[in-house]
Order: sequence, then C-alpha cells, then structure tokens
Amino acid sequence: MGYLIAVGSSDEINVNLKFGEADEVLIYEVEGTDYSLKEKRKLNKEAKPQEAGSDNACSSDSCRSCSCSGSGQGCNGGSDAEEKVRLMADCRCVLFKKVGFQAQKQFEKKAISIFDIECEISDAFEKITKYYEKVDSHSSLRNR
Amino acid sequence: MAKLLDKQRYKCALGAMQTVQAIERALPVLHSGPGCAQKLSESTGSSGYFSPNIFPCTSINEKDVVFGGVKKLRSTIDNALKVIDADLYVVLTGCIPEIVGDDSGEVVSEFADADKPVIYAPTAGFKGNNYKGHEQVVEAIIDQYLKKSDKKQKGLVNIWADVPYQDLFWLGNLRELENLVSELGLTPNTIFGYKRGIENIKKIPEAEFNLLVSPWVGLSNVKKMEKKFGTPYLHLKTLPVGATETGKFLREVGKFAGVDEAKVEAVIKEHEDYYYYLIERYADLFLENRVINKQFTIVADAQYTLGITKFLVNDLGLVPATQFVVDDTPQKYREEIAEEFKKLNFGIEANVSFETDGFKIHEEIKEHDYHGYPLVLGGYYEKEVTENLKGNFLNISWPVQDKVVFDRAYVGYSGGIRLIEDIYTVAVQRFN
Repeated sequence: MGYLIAVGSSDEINVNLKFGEADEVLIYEVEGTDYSLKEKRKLNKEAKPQEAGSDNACSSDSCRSCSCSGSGQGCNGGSDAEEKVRLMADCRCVLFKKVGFQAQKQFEKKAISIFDIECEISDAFEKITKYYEKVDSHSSLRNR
Repeated sequence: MAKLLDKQRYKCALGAMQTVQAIERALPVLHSGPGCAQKLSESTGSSGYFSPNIFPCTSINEKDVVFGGVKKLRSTIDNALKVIDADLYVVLTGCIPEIVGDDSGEVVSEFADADKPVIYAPTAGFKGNNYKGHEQVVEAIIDQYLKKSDKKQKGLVNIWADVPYQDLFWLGNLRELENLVSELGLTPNTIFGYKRGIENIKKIPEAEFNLLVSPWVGLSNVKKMEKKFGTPYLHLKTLPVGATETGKFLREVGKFAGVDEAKVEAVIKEHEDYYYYLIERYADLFLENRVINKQFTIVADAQYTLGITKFLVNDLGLVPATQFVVDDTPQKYREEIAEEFKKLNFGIEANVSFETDGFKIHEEIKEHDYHGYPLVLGGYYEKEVTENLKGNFLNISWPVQDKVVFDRAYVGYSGGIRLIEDIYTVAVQRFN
C-alpha cells in the first residue's frame, strides 16, 4: 500500500529546509521502493511565528487560546506548529533539516515519523523506502 | 513458535553496564535506545561516583535505524570525554545498532589517541544475558586496553569472581577472597570496587596467575589472558562458603602458587578453630531437629547454587532436594558443573536442574516431598511459593527485594557463619 512523505526542500534535490522556515513542502507518493513527486503543498503561514521575546508576544489572542509554555518560540509557536503539522497529517513521515521540539511533539501525537537530516532527497528515499518496506513485510532490519 | 519465559533471573547483555559501574571511575557510554539504559539501571546501589542517570547514551531512535547511528555515537563519545571526568570509557552497544549494522568498533577506534582510554564491548541482548555481557566487558579490557608485559610480579594473583551487582554480595565476596589469598602470603589484584579501578587493571598482565572462582563465568576471559599474556590460570568452580570448601580453596590455591604446605595448614587451622568454636557454642540449636528443615532447594545462579549446596551438605549436614541453576549456563559447561554436585561429603549427590523458567521451578518445588517444611534459598520470586508451603525462605540471589547489602559476604569462613546466621534467623522466627 502506498504512502506519502513530506520533504522540506528549496531545490527539489536536497533536504535543506528547517521545519520552521518551510512555506511549502514537497509531497512524494511511495509505492514499495518507487516514489514520485505528487504535489507541492503550501503550508498555511497566516499565523506567522513570532520572534521569542518580541513585545507583543504574550498579548495576542492566541496566547489565551492555547498553551504557550514550552514552545520556546513565543506564544504563537505552538498553534503555528500544530497547524503546519495538521497540513501534513496524511504523510507517514516528514523530512526536514531540523525540527523544533514543539513541532516534534505535534508530529508524535499524530504518529508521524520525523527524519531530521541533511542530504540528497534521493539518498534519503533509498534508505527510508527500504526501511518501510521491511517494516511492512515484517522482515528483519538487519543490514549485514 | 515464540516462547514465554516466566520470572527471568538475568538481564540482557547490556546489563554489563553494571560491570563497568563496578570499576571505579569507569563510565559506560551506551549506544542504545534510551529505554534500555533506563530499565537496566534499576539495581541496588550505584557506583557512588556516577549515577546511571548520567551515563551518556546515544538514545537512538527511528532516524538512526534508517540512517545509521555512528555520527551520534561519535559525538556522544566526543562530548563524554569533554564533560565527564572518568578514567575509562566503555562503549556498550544495544540490540538496535548491532542489528542495523552500525560499526561501533570503527568509531571507537577513532578515539585511540584520546587522553583517556575508550574501549568497546558488543553487548547486544540477542548475544546473551548479562553474565555473557560481563565477560564481554572484561574481554574488551584485555583485547583493547591491556598489553603484554615482560614484567611479572612475584606472588601477584588476579582474582575473578562472579558478576558485580547481579550478585548482591559481590563486593564483600571479592574482598573476602582477597583476604584469604593474602593470608597465604600472595598479593591479590581485583579490578572491581573501592580503590581498585584503572591502576589495578594495569597490573593484570603482570600477575603470576589468574584465579577464577566461578563455575563458568569468566572462563573465556582467563583463557584469553593465558593466550595473550601467557598468564596461567587456576579455575575453582566452587565458591568457597564455610569451613570445608574454604579449606579446599586455600589448599588448592596454595598448591598452585607453591606456598609452603605448613603455612597453608596453619592458616586453615587458625580459621577453623574459631569457626568451630562458634558452631559449638550453638550446637544445641543445630542438634534441635525441629528447628531446621530436613531438605533444601537453592534457586540461584551457578556460583551460589553450587557453593551453597556444598556448604549446606558438607558443613550443616542437610539433605539436598533438586537444586536449580537459573543463569542460563551455556550448554558446554553444564555437564562439568552437574558433576560438581555429585562431589559432596557423606556420599551424597544432589540433583541439579538447569532451568530458567520460574513457573516450572515453582511447580517442581510444590510437587517435591521435603519431608516437612522446605528450606528455599533463592530469588525474591521464591518467597511466595515457599510461604505457601510454610517453608523457610532466604533471599540470596537476584532479584533481591527484601534486604539491603553493603559489603556483607558469604565467602570464606566468616561468610559461612553469616549464612548460618541468616538461615537460622529465619528458622527460629517460626517458633517465636
């Protein structure tokens, strides 16, 4: 059965975007070890993350509507990450250069795996698709 | 088909972090998932210097399974060297990196030039239990840290016994073995516990011989040292508990080391005189046949099952029911160890069962006719079954839940006396 992978990339060759800086992700469709680009998906960035410590950080409405503790990036961090993650909810895993703590938790909640790596997309896909194929067919992960 | 193992008495090979922990100022660096270390660190007492909670760990996750965890291992070792002040860094690998094929040995070899020694022991759980893991750590020290020495120190004896922390009495036992050996005029060298550590490790190749006191744990290590350093070894399978076996122990060590026989006998006599003085003082208690049980069963690892069976038969004159060895002793050693259970005084032979399944052990205990109340020396798992049989129970092997042991020992003359005290303390409580 096929599945989707979201990739943060600016050049469609490398995984080179951090979760926080990605406005758009590439959505690949994987079938076995074959994969193809399915779409470029815009991530809703209306609620732009605020710089930590900025003056209005804690006076916004979102501060009251969601927990702002622990996000480490001001009050809107949590809700912003949540929204972005929600837009990738149909993916099995995501590939970014870096994923912050708040976003990690949101992905974990949805049981979406995170691979924070910096390499060529094709290299990453070779490994990940093989891994999932083994997992899905209940065969050993032994590499040697 | 998958099998269930009920009441397991050992941990996976990564449990060898306890062996590292027992070496003063040695630090385990774990290449494993975070849960492994957390589960394994539940033991009684830490090293006193490092808490298991600060053991550096790569905490590998799904990403490392897919992309490999060597980068993380490299940075973990690198940073451990920077921020933790230890004498020896021992990298231990768990199942995951070994399955996916991380070359941890290669990463560790990059640290050959580091200021402090970094070595590596493969301790994946599927390779065996923590008895095996203990051997792997000692092997790593021999292979990767020590070099052959031309200098041999006259009378220096390396003493190896069973697994620290897994054996609740490890510290006291080792110290008592040291005492016995030094009374023969020899110089004992051990690497575990207070004020031993790296300096003693360095002395290992200089020893005149290795003394292994264990039915099987460590045999591969002393054989390896014989090959690498040319150090001969004396393998005594029985942990000497009480007068009979400690006498034999001293005579065998004395003979092997070429100690004057008269000197050995003088040491034995002095100890035995006091030992039997204590026994005689309580002769009434021993002769009162209602106090102690007629038959006993031990459920422990090979060293205690063998050592204490010999003690209870030879010194206390009790009759053995089936004895259980629960450490998953490798098949190749079993026959020889079973033979040892036939070498008891008064022509008595004990039946021994190498069984790891607690359910089966308990069923056998329940079915056996002990001719009265049983005496069971075992792990905490045996407490309930013994109580149901209205027997006397003493917790001597892992898991230990009902006692705190700092440096008590069951080894030697004094150890035998301690064990009698413990057993009779339980026994007399029945009447009071």
